[in-house]
Amino acid sequence: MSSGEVVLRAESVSKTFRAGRGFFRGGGLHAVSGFSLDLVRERVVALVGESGSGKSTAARLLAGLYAPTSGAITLAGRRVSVRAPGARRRYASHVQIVLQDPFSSLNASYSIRHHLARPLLLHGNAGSGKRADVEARSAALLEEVSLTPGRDFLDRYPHELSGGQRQRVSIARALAVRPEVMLADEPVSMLDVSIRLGILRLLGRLTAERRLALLYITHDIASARYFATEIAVMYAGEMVEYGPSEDVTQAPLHPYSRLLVSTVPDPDRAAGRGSDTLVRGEPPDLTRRLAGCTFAPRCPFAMDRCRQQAPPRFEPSGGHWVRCWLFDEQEA
Amino acid sequence: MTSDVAARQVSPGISPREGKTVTGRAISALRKSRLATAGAILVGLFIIMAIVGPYVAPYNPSATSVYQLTSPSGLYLLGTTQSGQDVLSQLLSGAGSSLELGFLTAAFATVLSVVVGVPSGYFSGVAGESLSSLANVFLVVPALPLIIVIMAYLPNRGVLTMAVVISVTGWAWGARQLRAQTMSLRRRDDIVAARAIGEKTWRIMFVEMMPSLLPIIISGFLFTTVFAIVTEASLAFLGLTDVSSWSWGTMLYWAQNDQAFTLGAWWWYIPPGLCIALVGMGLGLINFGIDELINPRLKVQRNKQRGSAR
Repeated sequence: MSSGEVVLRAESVSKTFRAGRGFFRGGGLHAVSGFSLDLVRERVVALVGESGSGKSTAARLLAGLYAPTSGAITLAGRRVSVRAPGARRRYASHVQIVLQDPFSSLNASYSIRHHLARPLLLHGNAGSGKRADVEARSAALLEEVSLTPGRDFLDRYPHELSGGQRQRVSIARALAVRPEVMLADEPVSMLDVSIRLGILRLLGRLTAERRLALLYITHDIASARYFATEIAVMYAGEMVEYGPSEDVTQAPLHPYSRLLVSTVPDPDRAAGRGSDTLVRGEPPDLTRRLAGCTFAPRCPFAMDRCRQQAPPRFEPSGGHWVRCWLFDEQEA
Repeated sequence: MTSDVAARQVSPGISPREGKTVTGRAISALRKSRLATAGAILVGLFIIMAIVGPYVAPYNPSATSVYQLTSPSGLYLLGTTQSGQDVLSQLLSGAGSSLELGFLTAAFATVLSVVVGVPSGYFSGVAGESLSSLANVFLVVPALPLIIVIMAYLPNRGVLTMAVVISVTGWAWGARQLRAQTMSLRRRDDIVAARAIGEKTWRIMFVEMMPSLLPIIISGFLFTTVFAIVTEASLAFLGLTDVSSWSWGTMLYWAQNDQAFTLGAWWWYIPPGLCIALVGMGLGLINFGIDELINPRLKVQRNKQRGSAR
């Protein structure tokens, strides 16, 4: 990994949800396993994968909304626990999350003023805490996310705003905390295509201006290439490939990454190369742990070894690693 | 209702002042519900009756006279009892204690159900489960027999005592409903977002979630009011309350005691029975109105509005 100030680090974090309850408890659902990631100040990392790949669970673990089943999350080198409410609040003042659906992530009963005043007051960012102070700061936040004039939005209610405007409010709410890390969980997937770029540009600008470490979660690998410096690919709760975004999108290593990239129409790539050979099999069953590679049941290149032994990381080129036996150099 | 939606679609930028918040929209939707309006008028009339009743009662409800068991006439609008007391005066004086007991009980029970039900749904693990078990225990306790046993031993059988006893046995159902609603709200994005900014737990439960819990709380309050009025009448009928004070229940007790039914004195027992039924109906109608509000069909309309704002 290249230089830069690591703000948030996840070290082999896993989350298993209990399946069923009490007496009839099943084995559990392995939503995320062995998740390791560094988030660096002023850098954007994209987390890419299909639905159910554990992207959102990973984001919520990093946001402290779930406590990890195992593994450690460290913030500026210090290990984090989010079980006690006080500790949760302290952690929240460093790490913020923007949720996917702007139509449900704002409380319909309260005005925009409420949504911004609460984080300001909770984290002591409201100056004197007086009404005028809170109002001025809330308005400034709205203007920072290009909702101008900010004051005009304070007394509006969420249902009076458009999806893009709501997502901007959601971003402003996260900024009110003055975080160092921003986790954007598919921030544009619910929005019209025409306004997606505006929101992504805003997040990019804030990353630079606020010196944020940004995690951009998406299922759209094309936007990840545009937006992020590094891309991590997730499959069935595990990270299968990680590297600079140009490398991962232009020369994907893992068969699953190749599948993801091949689904994006790209004029640069030679036409006619069929991707249909890759698409087969079913989505993974997260309640069962496979002995070998999680992608083996769907992989066109699967070997006997893939079904027996989980692949470790292989790093064919600097800073770009993959978890796949195809890249075992001793074998080849 | 359609015209209202259309009006908002025409001017999505300019919001009508009324019905901006969920609570505001709920009130305006309730106003439009004919059932709820009818219920509110009915209950309102009984509340007025309870307040002014004792002052407009033509006679002292306990005063006896020589006119025994007379059917309704100009002198005694609702007739008299076996000891010559005026039934109308008893009805007017009794309204107060019946309604007072109903609302007081409902208030106690609602507070209990919110305090137990909401946290039991919000907290997972031991805390939530034990609060939920507490509610379950009270839910399966047979209410009326228990109340009868408790009342039989209590020296003071005033309204306050009765309200406490009835509410202790009647809060659990509301707590179950609130628990279920809270459990589903907990996973909603706006609540997750409130947790993400580090919002205090009590504020999440009682500020962020409250607008969505309110219809259930109000509906539980109204339901418990009916339950309490009927329970009081049953207890009074069995002679377990202070039968020297007037309520609709004690009227029925005396009517039964003095064999009003066998004597054919329908004017004695029908008015209090009818009043209880009408209050119950009024509160029930308001509840129907609230049900309409929670009904998914109304939510579909709200979604349409939301879609147009996109």
